[in-house]
Amino acid sequence: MRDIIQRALQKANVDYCEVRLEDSERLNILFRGQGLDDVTQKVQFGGNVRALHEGAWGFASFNDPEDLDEAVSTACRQAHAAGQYLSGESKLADVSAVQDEFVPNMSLNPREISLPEKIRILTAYNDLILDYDDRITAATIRYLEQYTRLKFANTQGTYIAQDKIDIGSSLSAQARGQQITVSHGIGKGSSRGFDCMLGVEDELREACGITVDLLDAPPVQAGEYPVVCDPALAGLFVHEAFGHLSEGDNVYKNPDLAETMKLGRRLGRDILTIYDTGEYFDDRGALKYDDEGVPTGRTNLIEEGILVGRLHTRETAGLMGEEPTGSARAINYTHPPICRMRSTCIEPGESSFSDMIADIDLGVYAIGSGGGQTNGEMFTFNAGYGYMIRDGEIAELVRDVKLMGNVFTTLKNIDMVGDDAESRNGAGGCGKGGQSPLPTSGICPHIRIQDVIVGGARQ
Amino acid sequence: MKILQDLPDGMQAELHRTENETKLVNFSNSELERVSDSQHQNATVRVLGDAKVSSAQSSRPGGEDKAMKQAISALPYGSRAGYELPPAAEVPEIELVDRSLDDVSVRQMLQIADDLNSSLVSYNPRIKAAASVGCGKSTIHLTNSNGFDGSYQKTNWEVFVGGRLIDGDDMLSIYESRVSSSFCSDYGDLTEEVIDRFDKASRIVPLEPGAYPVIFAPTQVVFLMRPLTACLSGDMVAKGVSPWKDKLGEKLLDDRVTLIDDGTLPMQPSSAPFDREGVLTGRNVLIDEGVPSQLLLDLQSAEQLGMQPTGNGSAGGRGPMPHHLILPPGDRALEDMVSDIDRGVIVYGSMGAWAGNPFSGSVSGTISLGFKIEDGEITGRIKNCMFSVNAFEAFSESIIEFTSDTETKSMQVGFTFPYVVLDDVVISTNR
Repeated sequence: MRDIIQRALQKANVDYCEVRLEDSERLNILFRGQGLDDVTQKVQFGGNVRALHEGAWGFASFNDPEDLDEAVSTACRQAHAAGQYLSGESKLADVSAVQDEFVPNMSLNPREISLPEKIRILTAYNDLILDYDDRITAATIRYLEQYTRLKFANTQGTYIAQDKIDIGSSLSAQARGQQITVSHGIGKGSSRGFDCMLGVEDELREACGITVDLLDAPPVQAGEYPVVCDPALAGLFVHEAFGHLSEGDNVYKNPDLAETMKLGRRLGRDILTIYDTGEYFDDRGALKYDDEGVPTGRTNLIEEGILVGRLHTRETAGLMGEEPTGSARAINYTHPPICRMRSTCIEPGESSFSDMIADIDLGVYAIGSGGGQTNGEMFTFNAGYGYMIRDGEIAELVRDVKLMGNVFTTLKNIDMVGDDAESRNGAGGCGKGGQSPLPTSGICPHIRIQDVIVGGARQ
Repeated sequence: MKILQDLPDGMQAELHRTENETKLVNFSNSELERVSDSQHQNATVRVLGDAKVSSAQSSRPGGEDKAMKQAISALPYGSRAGYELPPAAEVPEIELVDRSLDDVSVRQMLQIADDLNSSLVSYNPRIKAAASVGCGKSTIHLTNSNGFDGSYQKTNWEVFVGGRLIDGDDMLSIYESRVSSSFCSDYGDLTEEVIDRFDKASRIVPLEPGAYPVIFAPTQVVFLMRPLTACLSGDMVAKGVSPWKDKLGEKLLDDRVTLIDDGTLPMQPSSAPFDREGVLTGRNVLIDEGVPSQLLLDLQSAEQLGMQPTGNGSAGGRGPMPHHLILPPGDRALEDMVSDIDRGVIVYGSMGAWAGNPFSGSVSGTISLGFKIEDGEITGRIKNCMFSVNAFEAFSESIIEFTSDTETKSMQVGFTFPYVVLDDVVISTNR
């Protein structure tokens, strides 16, 4: 295959060309309601060609390996056609050519566990949820597993054969009351092995208990509060509220935003350090090389409150004169790589949880990560549930907690960072650019944010 | 189809095949970014036997045989299924193809996208414009071992335009799109709409937190409808998740709420003559004058509930899905609604309103594009605001009016909705 790819690339009449071939096996298991609802196995084969000429990209994707030569020709033709609308030059940050074959060091290879055994393990979790309390009327368990063999080559001499594994899951209970149904659960995931799915019974029981309690919990009252975010929500916050703004493709051709996101700008207090890494194989989104063949690693984004870096593809790094960070990712062969996060993390600080709530007269302890969105300046994230904080103590349970804020104000308003840290994983992923859901994760401590707007019921 | 003829006794199977061709031209940051050309195929096999079901997919050419073997080998571990795949049926014709799209060249698409991009840049060079034009064709073929054999084609034409204007830490993004099955090269009104909103958004005005009458644009009504359609999912009813489990036929909402799902509308991307399972689509009144009257049902949920499927079967374990939702309009125009409001808000864009548990009825989102209304006039853009609505309560107690103006769009599902005016919507913001 390597010879075939390299022969095809020799026909490229552009400044730069790359070929990506993907062979993947995917398993989806869904429990919904009272039991197993869907088992689907997918075999995907496909490839794409990306061609860059005088600053313009052509892209062609295909399923049939016989179409590789035609795809090279199409992508090059599209790049030439697009070039008529640009007067630019092709700028890709220099990287060393790589020749490598990589297979992740697996802790527990999911492909060595049979389908019936996986269903047996998940059935036990399903039964645990349904047997927990009569008020729990349904369970939902989503399990996905994908093993991908990628081959990448470009006209600059790189050839990489890389295997990737992704496991994601969510396990939740639903309890139905007279007027509403409430839901809560846990998320698990890994880039290394199936062991993330084992031994979660205690966490699941705790989630079931909260679900039942939520039936009697009122919606949070709308208002502006000091908010303590649990590690899962802090992970969602750092992804939505800051991570997307640090992606180079948002900045590189926008001088106004480049000024706003100028390296060296103070965005937070000294206690705040944020980084993104592709190295955490115990969590989702880890990879040795990105989809441009660039080695991944840790990229510091904010150090002690100061903006020090951003995430780059080769093109955004080249155009901004910065170093590529191995952040070019494509969800599959039908899409070109774009600048994406991997594991986005906050460095733990020195505050204990009890210190964080001690001086709050009225606030919210917001828990869980149920999705979010940003437009650069503003963000929304869904916490799922929380507790009111009254006079420095955890008080009543509240549901339907959704937070909103201005990115820049909120970063400055993080006034305490916890001395703990936990991973955020699940069955979903990032949805940027229509390439959804791309596996991402984060490891974060509790954080405290002042003056957060919380949506909810009328006071 | 040979793989369907060689099944073991007592087993049913279906083969669903799709072939897609797509061309896309994409401008971002006010300049051309990429021209793409994609050709994909996919085959999905579903087998049923011994009251169980399993499925397998392959995108590899000729991968059906392997997918069939995988699905059969996984069948003993599959989920429970007591339904029969549909028999042979005469598939009705629905107009979903515009042959003129075959002749649309990449050069034409580049020209249209360039014009859209240039309109925004000419209006304000500081706006970083985005524009894309997409053209696609799909062929869908479904056949099963019980005799159903149907196929159809659909074409797709998408235009997207908008931009982002940054002024210090203020980032204003305004986008509009149009998706159809037929070609249209005149998009002047789309860019005019975007430019008009940039104009109105140039002035930022403060808003006190509180409860206001709020006009939700049709694209936002989609989020308000999410709890209602989630509760009407036969799958969620059968599984005991929907709080409307035993409420079909009960008066739950205002008389003015009638919700229709229609899979047969000509030239709508969400239409199809039959659903993902081979059940013919139709027009179903889901809520009739405030009374939930019909669930969305696929084969599985219909069998579990002892009802007839409604042609809303979907792929990938998502349960039944609507095709094109219609909320009948009211009698008065949007501008009359605006002029009626002394102090209120109109919401054109939001973030995160899709997130959260739909079965609690709670819908809240950050207002990414919204305007304050004072004394019947739009006076400026509001910022740092979040709306919160309980859809069950709002559509029961807080409807002021639906406008006579409607918009037809296709997002994840298609919809034709009026602007919805609700009273007492909680707006949270910094004091």
